[in-house]
Amino acid sequence: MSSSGWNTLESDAGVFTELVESLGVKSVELDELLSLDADQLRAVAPLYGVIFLFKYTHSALAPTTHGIPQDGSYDPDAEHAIFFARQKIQNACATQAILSIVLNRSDIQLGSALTEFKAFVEGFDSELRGETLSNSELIRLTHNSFSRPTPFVDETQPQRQAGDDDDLYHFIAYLPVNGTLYELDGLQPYPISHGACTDETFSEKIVEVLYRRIARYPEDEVRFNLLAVCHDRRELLAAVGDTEGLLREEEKRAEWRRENVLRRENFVGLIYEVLKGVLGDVVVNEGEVGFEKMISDAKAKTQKRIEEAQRRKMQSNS
Amino acid sequence: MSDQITLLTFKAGRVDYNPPSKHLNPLPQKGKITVSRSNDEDAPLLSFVWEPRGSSKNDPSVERDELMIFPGEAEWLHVSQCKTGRVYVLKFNSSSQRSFFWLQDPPAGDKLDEISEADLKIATRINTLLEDVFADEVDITQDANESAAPNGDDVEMADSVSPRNNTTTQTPNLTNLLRSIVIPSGESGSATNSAEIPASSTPILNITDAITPSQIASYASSLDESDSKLTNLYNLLPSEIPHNKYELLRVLQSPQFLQGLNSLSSTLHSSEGYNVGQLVSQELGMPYRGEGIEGFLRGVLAALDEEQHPDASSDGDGEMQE
Repeated sequence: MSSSGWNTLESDAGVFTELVESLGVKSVELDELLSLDADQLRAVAPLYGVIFLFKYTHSALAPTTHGIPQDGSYDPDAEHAIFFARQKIQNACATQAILSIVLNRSDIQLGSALTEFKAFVEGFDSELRGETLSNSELIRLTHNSFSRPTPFVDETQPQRQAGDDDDLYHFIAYLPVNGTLYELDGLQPYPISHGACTDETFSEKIVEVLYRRIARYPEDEVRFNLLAVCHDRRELLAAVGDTEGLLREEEKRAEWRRENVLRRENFVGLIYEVLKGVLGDVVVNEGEVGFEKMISDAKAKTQKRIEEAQRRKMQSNS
Repeated sequence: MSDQITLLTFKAGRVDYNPPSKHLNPLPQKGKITVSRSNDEDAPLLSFVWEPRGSSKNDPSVERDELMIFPGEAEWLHVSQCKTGRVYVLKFNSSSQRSFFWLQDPPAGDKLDEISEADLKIATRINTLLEDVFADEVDITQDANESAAPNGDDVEMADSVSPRNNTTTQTPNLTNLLRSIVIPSGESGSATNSAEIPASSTPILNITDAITPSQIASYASSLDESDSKLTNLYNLLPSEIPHNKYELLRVLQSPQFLQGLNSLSSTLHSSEGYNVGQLVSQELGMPYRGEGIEGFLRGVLAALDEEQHPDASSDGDGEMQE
């Protein structure tokens, strides 16, 4: 049950940065990129790699035709030269994509836990690596510490209402390693090579690759996002004595910490108290009638939302 | 514009966003934002207009901007990374389109980025309207009339600020509370406790369909500093969050709090078959008034009633400690 499960994580730069730090990785941060643009990528140098994530529908998640990737070429030989693991658990995919980058960069300090993990899986094939990752207590617990377990929902909610919260994301890592631009997607059988690439040409090349990828999807089919895996900005700014920039980064970190604190909250107590307060005002102002009206209005609003969602669904199907 | 109903106006300037550098560059012109809707009940479109005001009106290079927004299509979010002014972004869910603005009404305190209660009210109001154009008819139009505002009233902003975009995807999280909940095996609600379960064809699917986040925020902001209810709310904040009204309101308007509301809603609703409402009410020490969100809200109302009339309590299954 929950003791062995992986929770869904919010795809957020602040979450992932704290996650890699908790795994013992030194001086790495993730930043969301607001646009797909080589200049923007160069601005966060040194850039270790990028993570492309998209909310998928079934057609978007079928990127391969048999034996050939839709772009680039399979590189089965790379399976042992680099860290590549098959994805075994859907919810682990964010963490897996991040690991695909940090474990393949010799210029990143991994910390003892991940160094050990990397050495342990070195001789394994990608299937077994995926299994090992899924079964890693340390990685799973760190991953789960950014959200609350969902034991109850998992069992009782097999059929969720399509729409609002149906966020299924897939994460793919791209990085230059051993002179090649690799796409590491745990749902693919092998690493995918996108040709020769160095750290210097990566910003340029990755933009081309991602543009081709995005162009394959129908325009309203996927929502995507791009995260840069780069060096801790604060260290770079401190090194050049940019105090103002440093302050900005410290504030960004403080805000991340605050958001992560809020993420671990269930707010049930607070919700209960504020609802009591709001209902108190309703009753004082409008009496019990006001409460009953609120209930019937709420039902109407739910009904309207459902109809709205169905209408949108029908539109997108047609 | 005669067929438009103005819902909200406030002073704001535009901010140029430059993706490559990730920099926001606030434009110096004075301006105002007018949010309105059409008179036509069948057109649920929100009109969002930025136009120059005061001396900037005479600047031929400054153009009026109008956006037509469908319900649920966009959100109005504070860009908290900006420390040299109060910057908000109108963020569209369906595309990468984002429009940034900086508020030109004077700030609440000495800090340039300090959000005032008026700002929060504007934000909750806009977000309510972005959800539902017909949300309500109360007009909280601020005085955006240039003649009333002396020039010195407008705030200035430093040249460039670096924002971090606030996109978070909302994955439902379940509460710690639920970790402690066990599905009772075949146990039905005890006869004395089970109040009438209201029958209804359409259940309420989300607490926010009954009580909106903006209602919650305005309730909290209406509380007096000396009110013990406010202190009570502070004590329910995570320990890392400072105990003051500003931080409380930020929490109540955070996406994470909204997730809390969503996950509690989905638990109450989706687990109806398992008497989860009864367990939640036990956990909170609140009278049980049925399953689902409606039952939960009726329970909250009953708890309130008990607090106000402690002697009249007959349920005996819940006592709320103040």
